[in-house]
Amino acid sequence: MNSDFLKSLDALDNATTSRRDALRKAGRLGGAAALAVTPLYAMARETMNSKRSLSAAYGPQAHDVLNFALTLEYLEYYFYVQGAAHPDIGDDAAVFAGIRDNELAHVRALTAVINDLDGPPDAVIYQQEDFTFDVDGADPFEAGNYELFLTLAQGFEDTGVRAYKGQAVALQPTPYLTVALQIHSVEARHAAAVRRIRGKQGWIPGDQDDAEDAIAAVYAAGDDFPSEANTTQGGVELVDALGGAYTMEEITEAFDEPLEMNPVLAIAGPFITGTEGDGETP
Amino acid sequence: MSEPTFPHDELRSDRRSFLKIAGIGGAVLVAAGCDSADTPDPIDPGDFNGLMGTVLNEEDGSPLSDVTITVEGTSRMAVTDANGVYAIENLPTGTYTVMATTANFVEGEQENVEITAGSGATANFSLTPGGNIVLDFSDDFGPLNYAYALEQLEAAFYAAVVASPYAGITPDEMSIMMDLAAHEGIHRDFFAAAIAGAGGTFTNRDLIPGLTPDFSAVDFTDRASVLATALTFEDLGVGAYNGAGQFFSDSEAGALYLVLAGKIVSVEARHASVVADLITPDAIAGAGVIDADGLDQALAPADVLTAAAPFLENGISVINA
Repeated sequence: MNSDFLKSLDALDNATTSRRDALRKAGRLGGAAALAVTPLYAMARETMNSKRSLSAAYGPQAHDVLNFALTLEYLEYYFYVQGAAHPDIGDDAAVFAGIRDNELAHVRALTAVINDLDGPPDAVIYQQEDFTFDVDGADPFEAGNYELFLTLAQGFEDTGVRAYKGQAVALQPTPYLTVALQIHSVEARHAAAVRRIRGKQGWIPGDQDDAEDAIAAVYAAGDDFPSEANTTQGGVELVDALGGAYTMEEITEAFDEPLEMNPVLAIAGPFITGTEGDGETP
Repeated sequence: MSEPTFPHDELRSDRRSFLKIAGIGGAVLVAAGCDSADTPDPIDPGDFNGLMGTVLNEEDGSPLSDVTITVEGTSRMAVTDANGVYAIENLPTGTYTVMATTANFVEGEQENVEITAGSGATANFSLTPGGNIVLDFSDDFGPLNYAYALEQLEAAFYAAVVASPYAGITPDEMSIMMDLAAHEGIHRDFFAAAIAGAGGTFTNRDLIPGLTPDFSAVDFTDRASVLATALTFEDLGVGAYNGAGQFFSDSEAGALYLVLAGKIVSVEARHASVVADLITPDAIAGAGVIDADGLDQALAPADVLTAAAPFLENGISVINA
C-alpha cells in the first residue's frame, strides 16, 4: 500500500475533521456495532442510497459505503484468483491475471482507507471460502465451463461499475469520492476487456435483453435508477433533443447507469455464502 | 437596443461646466459617488478628447461587460460596464490602435482611431466567441465547461478519423471508431445543451464557444498515430473526469452533475480499454496509467489542459481549481 496515498487522503481528511467529530455523536457507534454482527443485507438496509440528506450523516456513510465497495472487491478478487487459473483460459491468462491483481490492489487500498477513518479499524475481511460461485450447480472454474466464468466476469464488472456510480453522491461531501472514482473507472476498463473477450462491444447497448439469466439483473432498472436502456439524461430525452443525429443504441451506450446498494446486493448477495470477520487480509 | 450611456451620467452637467470654464479639452476622471441629476443628455464625443464605445457579443448583439480596453502605446485602459460601455478620458491627440480583450472571445482591434484637440472618438467592438478560454471552477459551470471542452476535442478527433480512416483499418476497428465518434458527439452535444439549460451564456462566460482543434501532429493515414492519439485522449479524459468530480458543488444541482459526469467517465474508460487493446493486445490502459494501488489517474485540471494544449488552437486555462 502506497503510504503517500494515505497521506494525501489525510490532508483531505483534516479539512473535514471537525465536522465529522460533530457528526460522530449522532449515532455512528450504533451503526458500527451493527456492522460487526449483522449480515450483508442488514448493512444494506441501514445504509442510505444516493440522496442529498446523506451529507448530514457523513461519518457512518463513509464507513458503510466504502465497506460495501470493499465487499464487492473481495468478491471479484476471490473470483479471479480461481478464474485466472482456469484450465480453459488459454490466451486470456494475461488479461485475467492483470484484472485479479487490480482487484487485490483495490482490496488492500480500500482496507487501508477504511481502517484509517475515524474510530476503530472496521474494514470488512473476507476469506476465499466466504464466496461460492456455482450457478445452478455448475462450477464456473471447471474445465468446460469457461463460458460461464466469462459470463459471471462480465456481470461482476458491469455490476461494479454501476455500484460505484450509485454511491458517488453518497461520497460527494467526503474526501473519498476521488478514490472511489479512480477505482470505478478501472472496473469499467475491466468490463470492456471482458466483454470484448466474449465477442461483444466494450460498451453496453440497450438493456442487454440477450444477457444470460445469471447476469440479466445487472442491466435492469434499480429502485429509482433506470436500466441501461435509458436515453433520458438530466431530465432530457436525448434521442429527440440531439436532433436525431444519433441512434437510440448509441445514446444508451454513451452513458452507463448507476445502481443502488440494494439491487447490487441482490445481485452479489447469492455469491456471498460466508460472513466477514477476523482473519488475515490478502 | 438603447443608445449607450456614459457610466457617470449624473455628473455630466457639472463636468461640462467645468470644461467650459477651464477651457481645456480634457475632463477629470470622475470618481464614484454621483450627485442626483435630471435625465442625462446623450453622450457627445465632441465634448472631450477621450475615447468611448460599446462592446457587443457578435453572435447575439448582447452587451459584454468586463471587457478590458487598452490603447496601444499608452498605459490607459478601461473596463466595460454592465451595458458594455467604456470611456477613457483625456487622451493626448494622436492616432491609436485600440484593443478589446476578454476571456472566451477573440480579441478585437481597431486601428487609426484619431483623437484630436477638443474632439473625442468612438471605437465600438463586436467580438466573436473563441480566442482564449478561461474556465472558472468557483461554480459548477467551470467543471461542466471543462468536460464540454474535452468532449469537443475528442468528438472532433474521431469525426476526422471516421471521415478519413487509416490505412488497413479492419471492419471491427471501423465500427469501433464510429461508435467512439458517436459517443463523444453525444457527450459534446449533451454538455452544450446541459450548460445552456442551466443558464450558461457566452456573454456571462458561463458557456464556452466552439473550440478549434489542431490535429496537425496526427497522421490520419497511419494506424499507430491515430490509435496512440486516441488512447492519449481517452486516458486523459478518464483522468480529467476523475480529477474534476470533487469540484462539483455540494448541492442538489452539483450532485446531479456529478452523477452525469460519472455516467460518462466509465464509458470513456471503456473506450480507453478497447483502444489500449488495439494497440497492445490484452492492455487495458496506457503504460503506467493504472498505479500500484489499482487506481486510475485523477488529474488536476491545469495538468489536463497542458496535455490537451498541443491539440487546440484556443488557449484554455483554469482558475479557482
